[in-house]
Amino acid sequence: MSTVTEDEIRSLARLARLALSDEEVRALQTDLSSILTHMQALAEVDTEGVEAMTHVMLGNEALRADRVAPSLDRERVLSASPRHDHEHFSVPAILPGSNS
Amino acid sequence: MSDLLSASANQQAAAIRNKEISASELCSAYLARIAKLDDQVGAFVRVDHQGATAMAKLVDAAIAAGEEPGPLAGVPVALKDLLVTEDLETSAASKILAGWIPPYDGTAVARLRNAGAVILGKLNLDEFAMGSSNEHSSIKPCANPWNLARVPGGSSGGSAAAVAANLCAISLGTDTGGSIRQPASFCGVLGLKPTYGRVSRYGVIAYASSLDQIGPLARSAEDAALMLEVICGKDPKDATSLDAPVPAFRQACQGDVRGLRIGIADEMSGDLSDPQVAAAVEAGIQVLQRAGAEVSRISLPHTRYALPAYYLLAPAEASSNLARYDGVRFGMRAGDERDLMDMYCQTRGQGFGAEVKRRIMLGTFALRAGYYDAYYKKAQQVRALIAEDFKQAFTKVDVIASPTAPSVAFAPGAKASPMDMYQADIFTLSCNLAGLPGMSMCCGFDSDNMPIGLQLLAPPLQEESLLRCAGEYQRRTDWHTRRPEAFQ
Repeated sequence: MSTVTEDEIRSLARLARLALSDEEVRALQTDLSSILTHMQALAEVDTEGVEAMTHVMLGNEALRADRVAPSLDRERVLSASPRHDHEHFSVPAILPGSNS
Repeated sequence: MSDLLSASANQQAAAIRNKEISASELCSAYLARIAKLDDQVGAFVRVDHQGATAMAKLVDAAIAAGEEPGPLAGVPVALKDLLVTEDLETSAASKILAGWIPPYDGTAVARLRNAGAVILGKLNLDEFAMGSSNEHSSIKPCANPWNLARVPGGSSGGSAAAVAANLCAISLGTDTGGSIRQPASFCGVLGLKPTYGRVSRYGVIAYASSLDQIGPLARSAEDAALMLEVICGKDPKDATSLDAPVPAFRQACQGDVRGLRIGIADEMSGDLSDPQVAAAVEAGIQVLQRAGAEVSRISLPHTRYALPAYYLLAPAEASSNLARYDGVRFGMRAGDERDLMDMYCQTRGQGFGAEVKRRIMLGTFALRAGYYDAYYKKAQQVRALIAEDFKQAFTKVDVIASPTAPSVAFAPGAKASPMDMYQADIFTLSCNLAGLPGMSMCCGFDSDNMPIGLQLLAPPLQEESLLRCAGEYQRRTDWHTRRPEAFQ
């Protein structure tokens, strides 16, 4: 039983910013459908009134003081990027008609 | 030298401190061993000859000058390539990060350096720590030293294989759903995932931030304890790190288990595993029982839902964490330089492997409007119920014992579908969901001479209970002293 359509896979891939081949789309449709079928076991569990657990809370929820501290060296950080102009990361044009 | 190569990390540290051997000599011996043997294993994705040699020299100089060289002085260690290392390429075994030279050290790495450890290099893993067999490494396969035709487990496969083959004395791995314990089990070594927050996650390439934790893989309990004493502790750079005192973990290994209460849960019992695994685990528990531990049955009713809960929550967090790999700040870039969206999609489409894409897609699905309540929120509620089960159980027992994995190491390609592979994690996932410390130690071998792991879980911050068990067990058995034949 397929629970995810090919269109849904393509739409998820757009949201996830993933270029996929047709072959990958078909494989993911099969895999996600099968995986999500197994996930449906969760529906058996009565979770009425149960608070969602987002994190393990063991007294580690205190925030540190908001003080300025040295950050990483700009030149070293930029040098690890695929394209930069020694001051900024360079990316393709974000707005239509603008230059990158 | 051959004696010190097979000695424990604690013994190596003592020998270096007492000038019986220099850090440089030990370092050279390990580098030679890696050069000779690692081609068969594939544990290392990068050997740092230069950095290791330089560090060993620093340690020797400190000792010669009469300075305190640190608790790990000269001990040859290696790191899962998910830990960020300054000036040493860090790739997460992914094409998308290939060639990335980080400008900083993660906190655990910095603590190792301060403690005098000699970092030999970076270890193989499943890409971005997503996998249970190391088959998802984009760099190369990693083999199990006990049988080169089997997988080492994953995702910290290289970390377990390197220790099993004695290509380093201790390694660091990370564990999000069993990624330290399951490969430790498959490779016959001891692996310990500390309580969530014990070790800073600063400088760990994030997979699922609410579950990830760094931990040691070693041959003996004392060696794992030595490493824990160095890496645990509060770090201002990780808000989730715990401000709890770091116990003398090595001392805990000397403790006994008289009166210690061991629970066995029906939901995590040997019935769900291979009969030879179940038998070895049962025998292992009996060793602790003979040493004075009390064994009782307990119930963890919701842990049967750990697998579906984990494989929604971890991918959801991953889909968010991995959004940063977009061709802008680090790693590779692909696609049309005039089209931002094309650049993002092509970079990620070409840079990520199949399993990473699968989990990003699964996570994107779970977080999508319209599915959020039915999948993501539901899984978080089930996570709360699993954590509550453990809380209740730990009012009756001190540790919970189970097999680490339902089988011994399998052959590459044996798990045909993603769901088959995910089943390898059924006993390890709930520990991360609840934030507990967990450990796997070798408790025997099957008829093909493949190692079997016994898992023990403890309440938050009770790593000492795990180490008491491991210390006692390793004094009474000699499984942990066995070496794979080709790597004596």
